[in-house]
Amino acid sequence: MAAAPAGTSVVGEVGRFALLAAVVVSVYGLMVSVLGVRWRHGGLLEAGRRAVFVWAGFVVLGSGALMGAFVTRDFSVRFVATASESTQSTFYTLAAFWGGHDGALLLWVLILSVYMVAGLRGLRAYPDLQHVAMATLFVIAAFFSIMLATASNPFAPLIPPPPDGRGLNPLLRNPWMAAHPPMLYAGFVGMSVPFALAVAALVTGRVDDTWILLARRWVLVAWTFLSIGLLFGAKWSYVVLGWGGYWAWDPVENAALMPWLTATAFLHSIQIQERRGLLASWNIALVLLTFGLTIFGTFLVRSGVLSSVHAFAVTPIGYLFLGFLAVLLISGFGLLAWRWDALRNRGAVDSVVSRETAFLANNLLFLTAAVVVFVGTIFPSLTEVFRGVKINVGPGYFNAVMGPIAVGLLVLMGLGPLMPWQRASPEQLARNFMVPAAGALAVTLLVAAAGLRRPSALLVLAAALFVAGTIMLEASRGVRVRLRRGENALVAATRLLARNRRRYGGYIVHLGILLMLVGITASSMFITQGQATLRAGERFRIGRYELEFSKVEFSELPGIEVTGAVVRVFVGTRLLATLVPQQYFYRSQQQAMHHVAIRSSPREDLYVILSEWADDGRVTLRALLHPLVSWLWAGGAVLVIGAVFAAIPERRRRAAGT
Amino acid sequence: MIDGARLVESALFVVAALAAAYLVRPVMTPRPVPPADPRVGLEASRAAVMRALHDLELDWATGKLSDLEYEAQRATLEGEAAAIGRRLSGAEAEP
Repeated sequence: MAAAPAGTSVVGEVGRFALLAAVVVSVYGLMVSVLGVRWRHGGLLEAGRRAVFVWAGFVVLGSGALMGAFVTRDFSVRFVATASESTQSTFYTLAAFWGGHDGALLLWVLILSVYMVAGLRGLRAYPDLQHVAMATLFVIAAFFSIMLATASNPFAPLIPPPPDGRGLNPLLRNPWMAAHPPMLYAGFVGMSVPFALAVAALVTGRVDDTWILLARRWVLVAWTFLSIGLLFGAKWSYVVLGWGGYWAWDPVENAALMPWLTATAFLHSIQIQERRGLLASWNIALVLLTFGLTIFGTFLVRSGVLSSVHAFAVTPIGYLFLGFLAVLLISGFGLLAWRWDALRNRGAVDSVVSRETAFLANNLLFLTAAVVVFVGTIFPSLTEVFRGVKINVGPGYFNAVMGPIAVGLLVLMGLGPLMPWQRASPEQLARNFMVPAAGALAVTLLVAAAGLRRPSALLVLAAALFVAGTIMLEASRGVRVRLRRGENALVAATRLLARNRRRYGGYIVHLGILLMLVGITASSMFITQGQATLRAGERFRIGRYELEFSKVEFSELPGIEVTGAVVRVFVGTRLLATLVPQQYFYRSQQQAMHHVAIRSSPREDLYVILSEWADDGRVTLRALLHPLVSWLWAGGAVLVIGAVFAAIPERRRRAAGT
Repeated sequence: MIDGARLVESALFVVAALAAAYLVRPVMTPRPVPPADPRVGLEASRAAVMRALHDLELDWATGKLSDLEYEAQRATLEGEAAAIGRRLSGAEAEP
């Protein structure tokens, strides 16, 4: 073993050893897995299985070493000196693990190790798929391990060690941001298992129902994490960035949204394959594309080709990710072309008016949305290449194109589940859709009569009410079926849900999306803003609220100077709340950050920012009213509950004679 | 007194040696590769058909399908289930 560089720590040495060992084991695992499959050699295949555990062990050892370096404030490790400082709280010192490029890459690999061990276990009943899937995952593991041990080594020494570190980027010192990367990466990396399964199905020729049934749960788990990651990121943007919004069509946000869109399409289209034997090749393509988009997202964050508030780490290894992505996609789609004949449809679409057609339309819209986001995201790079200047398309482009797509998806969300497979008669359509459509129309007209005149908001409202109506109709009919069997209402509802988890889990997810879309529409279309410079005792009005500035408070946190404005909020003469919007000044980074004060209610959020203060005691406050924004977060929670519910396996009794 | 860094280096060397032995040993030991079990794919197909039958029942009971369409789709799915069952029986009968 090579001696450690003079002046470096033991923990750094352990980390460097673990990452080097991870490279050796991942390359070994890849070689023995490939040769084992090729030569049908049981010993090599067993060595490949063992390599998964050993590789995961070294990754855990490396991660533990990095965590230890942070906890002991070992500034002889460059990454620790970059992302932490002695005054940083323990919580953010631990979160600093993924607060920079090198640590984030190690987190990626750590999560991959968890998925590989879980995949090895989950696929043990399918050894032929398991062997190829593990070989595929080792390709990914080897690439990331090599990146970690070479260009992005989080244990690179810093000699001589500085007396203190630079500290974590203040933007990242927020609980939502501390939790955002692990969730997002659990989603990104989770897509590697279905990708590996798709490759395994193509290599082995086992393109029957097996891989699709296995892949569904992995995609659902990864999709759930990705959804949570996106929500946490939006919440962070809302409470930290101080601009009052939660989504800005930033390239890095878009990078996480694109695989979410294609994975959502997959979760719908596999139902067509399971039920009708259609879209086998389409489903494989969606899985390949989804994982490719996660790598593309990593490239966007790492390369710095696009400016983003999130692109904290700009490194030259971004282009290695682009090369790796090219290899993955060319190999995956090459295999798909090779197996094209085996993936022919087993059936055909019988009628345009059917559930499969609704799902097909849904897939086309999701894919269109992904393409729209992709084009908008890379447009600045394209214009730079072809015209020598970066031209950003801006939120206007995204909102203009994605709005109609979202409404289309919303309508399909109502139509699809109530349509029968194969074909629907006019009578069935009338029976299933008359009540929800009439109810949605009536309520929308009432709301319009009450004063809401914005056509786009009314359209979203009508579509949302229609979907809510179809879900309630579907659930009530299901309960009535069970009531006829003599069950009481509670038992009927519980059993209906428990025995149809996929179906009703999906409806719960739809309900969550519905709430989110209503929240997004209301909070973005009907936002009210106000700003005022006030002396103590002066007030200004925003909506139904009167904000009275009382005083400025100064305090200290370790390494941070805190300035807060005490603001009393009145509705009429009633004191509703006292808010303290603050500014944090981080001494090490010489950087100021807003800490907004938010009074949240189901009706609206009152969002107050301390813009500036003067020595004469005056403060400038900015306030925003976001109607229904809490519906977005509540909808997100409902979505996650539905996804978890849908992921729980259903137990089926075998029908007699089958 | 033993130097701490030297002790850690020795421990890492032992870990590396143990890992190498654990990884290389199966390569030296010939072991058969069990043939792929055709029943696994058939079980998956049967599970998909059973789920489709269950969903069909619920769709029919909640009024999404006419009796005629329900009977036709049910017959198709039961035919598929029976065919898979026969192939499964055949696979189970094979030595």
